[in-house]
Amino acid sequence: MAEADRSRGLGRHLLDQCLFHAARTGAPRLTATTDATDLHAPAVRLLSRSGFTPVDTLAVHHRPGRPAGPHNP
Amino acid sequence: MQSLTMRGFRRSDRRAVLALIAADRLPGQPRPTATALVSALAARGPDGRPQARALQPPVTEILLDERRRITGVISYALRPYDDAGVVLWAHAAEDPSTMAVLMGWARVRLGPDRPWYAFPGIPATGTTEGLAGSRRPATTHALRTTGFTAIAERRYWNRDLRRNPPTGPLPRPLATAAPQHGPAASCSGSPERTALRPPKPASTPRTAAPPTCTAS
Repeated sequence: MAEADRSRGLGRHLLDQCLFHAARTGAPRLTATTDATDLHAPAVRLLSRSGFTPVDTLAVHHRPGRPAGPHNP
Repeated sequence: MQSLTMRGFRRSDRRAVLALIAADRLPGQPRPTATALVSALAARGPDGRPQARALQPPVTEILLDERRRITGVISYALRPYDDAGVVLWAHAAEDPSTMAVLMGWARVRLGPDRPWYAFPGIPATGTTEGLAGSRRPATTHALRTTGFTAIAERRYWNRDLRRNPPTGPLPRPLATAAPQHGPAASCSGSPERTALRPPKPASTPRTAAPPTCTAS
């Protein structure tokens, strides 16, 4: 949602329509993902208040490389 | 000492591999299909696009136990532009020792000293990128004990519409869907005219008069 349009209920309105459409067309469930950073706190609140439950946290993992050296060619 | 065998994926392994993938589904994720597996074997996502950028052709290998049963599968690739190894997907019914073998095998095959990424994209057999930490504890443990750390995290949410259907009247005005162009498309004008357009007569084509949107 654009910054200027936040806190106006637009997200809730759109999400409610999405829920209605999904239920009406026979979808058994609706899933969503949000960024885990604080930037997405409004989206987290919106989903929580709309009956969504957090299932899990999904993570991309990284392991840095080891530079080549005399003991690590 | 168990006698374990790693070998390349074969077409005849499909059923067992699909079962391993299905066992790791999150609520809401579709049951993996043979078609989706073919895409996943080519490192492609559900939309057919590459799961990660600029990869060499991926290698998918399976682990057999001493009774020649398939206990794990891992798909990995080399990414030449940053010389990184990439674990695209791996499944082993969350058996810690099996997952440790799979991860160790991939690292040895591509070189243990190169940088590594794991679960960076959306495999065709799933709908989310990243590894589910709580539901995949053995896989998460296998990564952490070999020096991996989480670098990007997302939360996955679910709403069961059969147990918890929406109630009350359909919220109005109805929003209409319109294509957005570009990765950072934005709408201009008042939200009433763009995001929340009034309902149209049934005869109006859905593509007519899209909201005022510009790509930036």
